[in-house]
This record gives sequence, structure tokens and C-alpha cells, in this order.
Amino acid sequence: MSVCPHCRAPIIEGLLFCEECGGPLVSMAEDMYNTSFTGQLSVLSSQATLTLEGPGRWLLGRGRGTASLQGATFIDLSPYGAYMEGVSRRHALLEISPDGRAYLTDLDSSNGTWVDHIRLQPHRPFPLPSMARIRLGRMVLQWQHLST
Amino acid sequence: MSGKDFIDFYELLGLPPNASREEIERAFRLRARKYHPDLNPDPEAQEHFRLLVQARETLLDPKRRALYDQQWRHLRGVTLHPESPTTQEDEPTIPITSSPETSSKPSAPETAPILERDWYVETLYSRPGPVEDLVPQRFYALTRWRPPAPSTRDPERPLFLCLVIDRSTSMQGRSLQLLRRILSQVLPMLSHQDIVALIAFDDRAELLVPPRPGNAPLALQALRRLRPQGATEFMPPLRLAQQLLDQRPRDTLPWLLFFTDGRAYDQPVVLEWLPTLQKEHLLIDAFGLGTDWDEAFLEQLATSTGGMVTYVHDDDEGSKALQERVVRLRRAYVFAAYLEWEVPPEIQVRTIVRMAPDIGYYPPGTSTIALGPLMPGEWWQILWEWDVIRPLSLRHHIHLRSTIRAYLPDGRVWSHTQTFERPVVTVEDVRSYTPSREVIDAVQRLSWHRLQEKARKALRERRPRKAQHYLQALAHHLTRAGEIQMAETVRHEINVLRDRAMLTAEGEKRLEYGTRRLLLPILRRRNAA
Repeated sequence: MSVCPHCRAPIIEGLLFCEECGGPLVSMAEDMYNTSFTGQLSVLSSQATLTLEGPGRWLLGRGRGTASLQGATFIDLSPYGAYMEGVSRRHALLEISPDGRAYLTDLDSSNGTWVDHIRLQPHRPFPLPSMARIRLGRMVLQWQHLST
Repeated sequence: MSGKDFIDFYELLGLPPNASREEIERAFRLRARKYHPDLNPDPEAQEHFRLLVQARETLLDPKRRALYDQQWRHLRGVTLHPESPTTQEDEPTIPITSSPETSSKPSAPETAPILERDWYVETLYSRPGPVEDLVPQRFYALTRWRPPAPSTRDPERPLFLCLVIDRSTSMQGRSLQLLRRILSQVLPMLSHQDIVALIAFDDRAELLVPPRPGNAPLALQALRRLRPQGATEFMPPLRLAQQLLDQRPRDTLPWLLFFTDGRAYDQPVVLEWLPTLQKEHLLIDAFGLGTDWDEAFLEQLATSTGGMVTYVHDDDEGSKALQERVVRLRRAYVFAAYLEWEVPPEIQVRTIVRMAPDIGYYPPGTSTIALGPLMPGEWWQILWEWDVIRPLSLRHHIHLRSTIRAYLPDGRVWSHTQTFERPVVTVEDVRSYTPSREVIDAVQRLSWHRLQEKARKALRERRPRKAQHYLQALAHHLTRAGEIQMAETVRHEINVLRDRAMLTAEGEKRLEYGTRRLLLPILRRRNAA
């Protein structure tokens, strides 16, 4: 008997999807998923929303002329009072991976990053569920997966 | 060409791939009425209409259709013989290759729709055949059947609805309100020819509105006056309903709609009585209100007749689903149908799910199932899950024999017998075989339903962390597949589970019936919602 490449559970011959984790076991099943993936980031205090189309990387921070990370698009939160709310210049990195998963990584910010009341460890990507409440310093944002 | 941009025009029009020009034209007109921009301002409807026009133009032009069919075959891995119906003897068998010189790929297009006496039958498999000497082994098949189309154009028949409504004390409040709101949306749709009867029950049954044409307004009034009282017993109202439906005009479909919010001690008696109903071709749809009703019981009540179970928690969704059902059942040209099969001892049938025209979960271990009524342009589609439990040798072929008996409004019976034959193959044959996308999609949808089942089972075994693990996997796959709304529902339940180490009864029903709904083809779901 072989094991599932995703979760190592033993699998019966002929299965198309793992019975333990639901992961696809045939290559064709892999590309049935949508590769483009969209999410929405909103700043709660100002009702401002931004639609992000994946896959991609976005740097959340503040200030003009802040150098972005390689391959990331800079999102400037200054217009929403980022400075007063304690957002760092390069605060956190939001990623949508090619398989449609969203992650948030704290970039060692001065005042910290929280997802649903959990404080993130610096430089450790954290999976971002839909409807997650993100806090950068004191600024609160909401993350939502959108349909493609 | 990638499969992603490819639009299945046959599915769009609800037609089999060997549909005639007349059928295409008619299917187009029928749908165009619903989606025409002048009649339906919804932007999604406009997009849908554009696709319909494209489908019609492509399929009515012989040259373009030939080209399109070629791509269709390529992507769906089937061969078509629209001009010359194949018989079973002609069905190509798969070359079993053992030497590397003759490593010709086992061709995916091994199934041909069989037009035996004008029936349309098509089966897609997850592998070319079971692999030799491999136990245990899982095998999937997706089969569609459609009997010959009716000769008259779009025959619409009056309906005979027998509403059987629980009025026991527990219905007081939200359940009764929900029921009133749904039926006040549905009953006004009925014409003066439709016959409606209303039975209310607690521990006894009372005929509040006798069956007569055009008395839907009376049923509405009776519903408004309904006052909850007493205990619950299911057998008396069901017997009474059976008597009423027995006296129906001959060519009306006997349709029983059973609404309840609870359980009754006489459920075992009902289950014993159920098989006698099959002779009368009664259709029972069961509606569960609130969270206290017994899933297994309502499931058996409805599926034994080919009907379906609906979890009613939202009046808008509930009434739309029922409205759609009313419109469709008017056009039924098969009132009832039963599928019987025989499998060889090496094979065990693990699961049978009806994925079209409506969802049906059949209990394992049965060898006859009720497929329910059929409307023009639709087909019955069954996903089988088989386990090979005894080793098979390479020279073998497995045979599965199935028979459908379909009962028509005029009392005639159509029957169709078919033998599915699969060769036993080698591991190499399986490796070079790509199952059709449709099979993968169907199995994937089933796997979502399984994950929530496993989560709920883990909870009953007091393993909330394990349950959470299954639900997280489910939410992940739903999101990846773009089923965002259901993924949100699952995430909400994960949060509940995290806080309380258990799920609410409502949450469990939402998971069960939410994932079940995803088994319907997307187009049908969109129309129903």
C-alpha cells in the first residue's frame, strides 16, 4: 500500500483523492484548481478596500520612497494614518501562492503584527484564513478571499 | 487547447452529444427565454445568453460542430458515433500490452454512448479496468442514462401535490414561520388545474384541504390558521396521503411533500411500510425544518422513492428550490424509474450517488434504487464507487449488468438492460491512462462530502482536534476549487469547534447539506439559487 504525498496517510490503490486530507492523487486533478486567485484587503477605519489578484507578493508599510522587497508590490498605508497607528515602513508581507493560499509574514516590525489575536513571529509566514482580522501596530485590516 | 477555456455546449444546453438539430434548437429556445437580456437584467444571465447563442451557432453549423465534437471528444475522452449506434459487441476493447515494443497507449476513448432502442447510455471510468492481482483497489464509474425523448413537444401536465405538514408543538415559532413563508411563495405558482391536498398531523392526521383542482389558495388559508398542538406520529398522515394519491387522475405525477421538524417513535413502522410504496410510483420529497429531525430517516423515506431531502434553514433558498422543482416536475415524461444491478463477487459496490437530475445518496448494500422522475433534456447520472475485494487475473473481463425500468405517464414501461464490460489490465495500462475530467470532478466533489462526514464522526468519537483537521482540509480544498461560499461556511464551523470543542446541530446540518449541494453540476445550482 502506498502513502499520500500530502499527508503520508496510507492510501488504497486507485483512489483519486486522499481520504484523510482530500489532496489530489492524480496529476490531472491538480490543475483542476483555479490558478488565479483574488483576495480583498480592507482598512476597517476608512472603508478603503484593495483587491489583490494572485499569485503575487505585496509589502504592507508606509512612506514615500520606501524601497519594496524584490518581486513585491508596495502598498502605502500612510493615507489611512499609518504613522499614528504605529505601522512600520516595511511592516509585513502578504503573499498569494500559485496554489491560491494566502500568507502574512511580519518583517520584524516595531509594534508587531497580529492575525485574529495571534501575534506573528517575525519572518515566519502565517496562513491567512478568509475573514481574518489583521492588526499592524494599532491599524486593523480585514482580509477576505474572493471568488475567481 | 486547454480544458479550462473549453465550454461544454452540450452540458450548457442539457443535451447528450448526439442531440439532433431539432433538439438543439428547442433546448436553445427554452433557455433563451430565461436568459434573454430583455427578460433577465442580471449580468450573469447576459453572459449565459451569449454562451447559449455561441453554442447554438456552433452546433447547428455541421462543419463547426464536427470540429467542436473533435475537441469535445479529446477533452472528455469519449468516442461518439452519432450516425451509427454501436452495440455492445462493437465496443472496442483495450489492447493489453505486456511487451515494450507494442506499448501503444491504452486509448482513453473506450466508451461509446450506446443507443440501444434509442436509449442514450454513456459510462466514464477512473481507469481502463481493474488491475490484475491488486487487492484492495478502488474503481469509479460515472454513468448516464436517458430514455428516448417524448414525442410531443414539451408536454406539461397538471401536478398533484399532497402537502403533509407536521403541526406538533415543536413547530411553534420559527419552523412554522419558515414553512408558511416558503409555501406562500410556491403555492401561488400553481394553476387552477393543479390539484392540491393538505394534511396536517400531530399524533393523528387531519385532512384540512381535500384534493381538488385549483385549491392552492385554500391550502394557503389553512396554513395560516394552523395552530401547533400535540405529539408526533408519521404513519397516520402518510397512510392518508397514500389513499388520496391513489385516487389521482391517471396521468398526474403523485407527489408527496413531507415537512417535519422532529422525530417520531413510529419511524421503524414507516420504514417497513416503504417498500410497498414502490409499486405505486409515489414521489416523496422530505423537508427538514430546524435541527432536530432525523437525517437517516428522512433520507430513507425520500430516496426509496427517488425523491430528495432538503434542509430548510432559509426561506428564500427553500422557496426557490421548491419553485424550480414545481416547474421541472410539470414537464416530467418519466414518472418513476428503478435501477437494478448485478456485480461479480470480486467487486463490492461501496457507494452509489445520484448526481443528476437531483442529488440522491443511496444506502450501501442495496441492489435496486429508485432514480426518480425525469424531465426532457435531463439524464440520470450515477457515480459508482467499487472496491475490488478478490484478486483478478489478466485474462478476465468483469461484467456488470444493469437494468432500468422507467414508468411513463400513460402507464407504459420502458426497460433497458446493459452490460458494462471491463478488461483486467496491467499497472502500465493504468499509468498511461488519463481519466476523464468529469470523473475526477465528480469524485472530488464526493471527497468533500466525505471529509465533513469524517469530521462529524471524529466529533462523535470525542476527537475534536481530528475533526478540526478534517474541516481545515475541506476548507482548503473548497477555497482552491473556487467554492468560496461553502469554504466560508466550513471556516465558520471551524471557529465554533475551536471555541467549544463541538459543533451545533445546525452547523452539522449545514456541513452535510452544503457539501451535498456541491455535487450538482454548477449550471443547475446557479439556476436553482
